[in-house]
Amino acid sequence: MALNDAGPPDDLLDLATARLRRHTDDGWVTVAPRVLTSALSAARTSQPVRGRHAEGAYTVAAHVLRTSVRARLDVDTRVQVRRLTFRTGPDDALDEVVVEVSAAYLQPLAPLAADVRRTVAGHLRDVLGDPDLPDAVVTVDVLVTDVHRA
Amino acid sequence: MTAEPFPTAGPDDALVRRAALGDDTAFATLVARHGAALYRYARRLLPSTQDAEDAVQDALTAAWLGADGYRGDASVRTWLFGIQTNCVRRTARRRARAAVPVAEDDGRRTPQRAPTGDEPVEHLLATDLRAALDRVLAELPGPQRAVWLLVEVEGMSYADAAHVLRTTHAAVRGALARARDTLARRFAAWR
Repeated sequence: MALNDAGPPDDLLDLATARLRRHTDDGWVTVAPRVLTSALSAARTSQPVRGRHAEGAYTVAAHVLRTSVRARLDVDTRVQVRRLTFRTGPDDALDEVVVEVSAAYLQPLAPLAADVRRTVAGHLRDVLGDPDLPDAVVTVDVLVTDVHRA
Repeated sequence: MTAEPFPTAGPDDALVRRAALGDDTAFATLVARHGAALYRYARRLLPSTQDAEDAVQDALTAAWLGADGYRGDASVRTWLFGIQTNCVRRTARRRARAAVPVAEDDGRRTPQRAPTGDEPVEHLLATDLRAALDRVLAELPGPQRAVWLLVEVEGMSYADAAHVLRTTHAAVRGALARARDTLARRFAAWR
């Protein structure tokens, strides 16, 4: 559209604004993949959680545990994880995991919570190398603030 | 049970929640939705493409690392633009130099001077209308430019723009009025 086809000045400004609104800078297209990769590779700091192995003790960052527990629960379409919190004692031993999930519509909540607790505790036993870690270390808060389709 | 993970086409707040749980796919979806707008905003507040890239890089890194701090007090878009504004300010301080007119996207062209009032319309016919707006925008004081971009281009309410810029509703209203007046006069001068 030629500029002299536009109407009054406000229309011209409106037209320019509309063009800017729809505009994606070439610069963004060029750098977007690099910027995303760089952001995702930034190291999250979080508290250590102690694990044990035949060769000795080790620690796992809480955010790593969070990612792995979330991935483990993602396969269960009855729940959606909303928040995962790890609480540790002075020696970094795991004291409690709080799992907040929303439940799919019409799901019986008690069995669902039991399944989540069992799944999370089993996973943590594997990751932290503690076969004696009890299911009770996992607290499951089932939020019914929302529902989702399974 | 089927191995169907969380849908990445969910609402923004759900994606942020997922990002806080280490879901990089959810975060990538957020970036796909808002990254271009964040860059568009940063690019017009900073003097170079490199500065804009740095500021967006910093903002997205902060959003990824701080996703668990999102409490839903504002929309995710407003939250992201608030982070972006902080990073723009930090980048500008680091550069410690005034903004210059926005160059072409590839940054290789010499920045064009702002058009003057007696510039023939025919000259503008050979240029892109958006590029002309960019040049006039670059003449606005930074705070006016930021408010105008947030409200007129990104479609934010005065309240959201005030939240992003950590200022008052009245300050946004005043800055926007001045920006609109300046832009209208500059465009009128071209007729």
